Amino acid sequence: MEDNDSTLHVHRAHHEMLPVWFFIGCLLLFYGLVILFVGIREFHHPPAVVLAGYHASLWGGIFLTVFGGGFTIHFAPRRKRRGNEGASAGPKR
Amino acid sequence: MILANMVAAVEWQSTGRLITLSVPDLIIIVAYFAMVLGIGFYLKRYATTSDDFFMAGRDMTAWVAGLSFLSANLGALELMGWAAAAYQYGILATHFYWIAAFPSMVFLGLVMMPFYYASNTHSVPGYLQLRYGEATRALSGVSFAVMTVLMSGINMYAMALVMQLVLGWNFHFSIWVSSLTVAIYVTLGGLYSAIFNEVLQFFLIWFGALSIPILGMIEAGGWNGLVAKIHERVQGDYVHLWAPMSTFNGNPMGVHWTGIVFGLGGVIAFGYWTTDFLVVQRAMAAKDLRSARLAPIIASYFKMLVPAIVILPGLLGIAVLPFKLVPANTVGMGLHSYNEVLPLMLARYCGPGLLGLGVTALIAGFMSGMAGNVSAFATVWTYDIYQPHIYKHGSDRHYLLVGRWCTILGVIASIGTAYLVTHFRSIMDYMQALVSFFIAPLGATVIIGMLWKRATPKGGFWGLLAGTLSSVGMYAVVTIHPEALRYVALSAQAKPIADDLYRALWSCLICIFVTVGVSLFTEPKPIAELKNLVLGHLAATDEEVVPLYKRPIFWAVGVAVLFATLQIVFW
Repeated sequence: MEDNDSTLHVHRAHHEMLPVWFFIGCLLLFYGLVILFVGIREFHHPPAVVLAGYHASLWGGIFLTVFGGGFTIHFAPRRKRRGNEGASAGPKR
Repeated sequence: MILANMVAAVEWQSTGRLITLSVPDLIIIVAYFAMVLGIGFYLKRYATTSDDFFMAGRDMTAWVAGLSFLSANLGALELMGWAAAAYQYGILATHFYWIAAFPSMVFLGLVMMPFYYASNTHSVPGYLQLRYGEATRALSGVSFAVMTVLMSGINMYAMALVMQLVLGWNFHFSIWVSSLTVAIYVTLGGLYSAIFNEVLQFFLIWFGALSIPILGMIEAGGWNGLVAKIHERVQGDYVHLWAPMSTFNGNPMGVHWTGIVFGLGGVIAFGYWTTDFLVVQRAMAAKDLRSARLAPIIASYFKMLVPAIVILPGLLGIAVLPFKLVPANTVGMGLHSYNEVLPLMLARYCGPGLLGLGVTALIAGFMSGMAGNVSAFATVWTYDIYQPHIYKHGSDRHYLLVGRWCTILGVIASIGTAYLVTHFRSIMDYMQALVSFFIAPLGATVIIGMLWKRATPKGGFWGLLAGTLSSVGMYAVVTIHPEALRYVALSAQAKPIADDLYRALWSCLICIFVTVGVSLFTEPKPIAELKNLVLGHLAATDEEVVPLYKRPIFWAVGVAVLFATLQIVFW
């Protein structure tokens, strides 16, 4: 739909703002790690749910960790590069 | 109606709970609250002008505005209610996600958004002021402000009720924790906070609910297995969209296809998606016209997919739950109501962690619903009531301060509404109906104003008033004399849901009739005053020239193809 990365950010003409995607990435990464831990633990303590053998928590945890981690890294604020001083430290575009 | 059923279920199961949370679940819920508060404190530094606070600086990209546009409508009450409707009515409930969304959302993006955007107004009542004058804005603004704050209170009440039913949480604890959190983050960041949290909620709802259709389809044996199981368990056609709608009594919903196409897809959907400021505000916050036009079109794609996490769990509930759900007013010992189908399916498949994510998704849905209502209330109150009628010449800083105080007052009024509803529960049914009174005529008034330059200020005002009063009148008559439904819905076999659809249709037609009639006998506005407000008088926009695949029309055609394909597949 919109092909460049900048369209995935909140565009700020007069000040730089962390994009909403960064916050989403952080939260989902945290959730992924918690659920992944639970999923691994479930090999020894299976939950009393239907289809427990499919290890939904494990797969869900892996997915959220990868998805959240990807968003967090991709949209994390970058430090100013040397030689580019004066430019704002905005989100990665 | 959904809430009333919830009340009945809670009253029966006041000491029980559907789900028991573990430590990982609580960690996930606490992390959500910490994140939304953190976002509010972070965004405070950016909400420094009234334009920042009320319109998010008109800085949102198409994706952010689009997902927020959709999320403003994707509340927890809708999720639970439509999952319940799918259990009760089958796949017919999908009409409320497909035909009730795609045409009107695309129409908003392609036709109406240029007027909203080019007129540089802050709100839908603001557009009405420019097009029809102060009286129409006042009528629309006051009713919208009152409705939004009351709906926020009903959302708060619903959340506390659901948390009590599902988790066994204390009613007052839920109300105060959620309202304080919403008050803090919206007061700090304004529409920025509301939009950020709506986009966050979008992801939480998808990831929180996605395990149900995935595991459910595995258990049911795919689509064919699901259909076979449904046929084993219930009589009637629960798996076709249009085939059973040629008569009122040929489908579980008791609605004729004309009601769905003209009442739902034509009037209610157009009224809601194109003029309800709660959702339109998100698109108006886009950074340029192309993004504003793309926002509802992007949202329409995801709206098409929502039945996967709402309707499918309801259908799966029919197929795999080992017990039958019943209407809430017949819930007895050991029985569950339709409204519990989503939490029951969540508990069926999700262990610790995933369960917490699902519950967090519901909490997020409720809270962003409150935040959306409160932020829209603050905008309309400040721009459309306070500024023109109470204090005209304040500084920008003054209106920013008023907006922040409005947010706090809006939350306090919402809390008051929530407690009022606990004592007078019939209020919430009336309130939900009251909101529906304004949608259909408002949609007609705005669309006529945009498409017909001859529509006059008096025509717009009296058309809106006549449409609203006729809707109230029909509702009152059917409430007092239920047998009158046969006249409103044109059939003795019509069921209550048909009442809403046909009432909307008639009130829209009355609004159009009165608007046109009065306009033909009254003085129109001079053409010079209609610039950027009416078709044919839209100034050349500064939309950048972009390749075809970046244009709104390209993506509108794409969603039309998707819509047509889905109708054929599930015909």
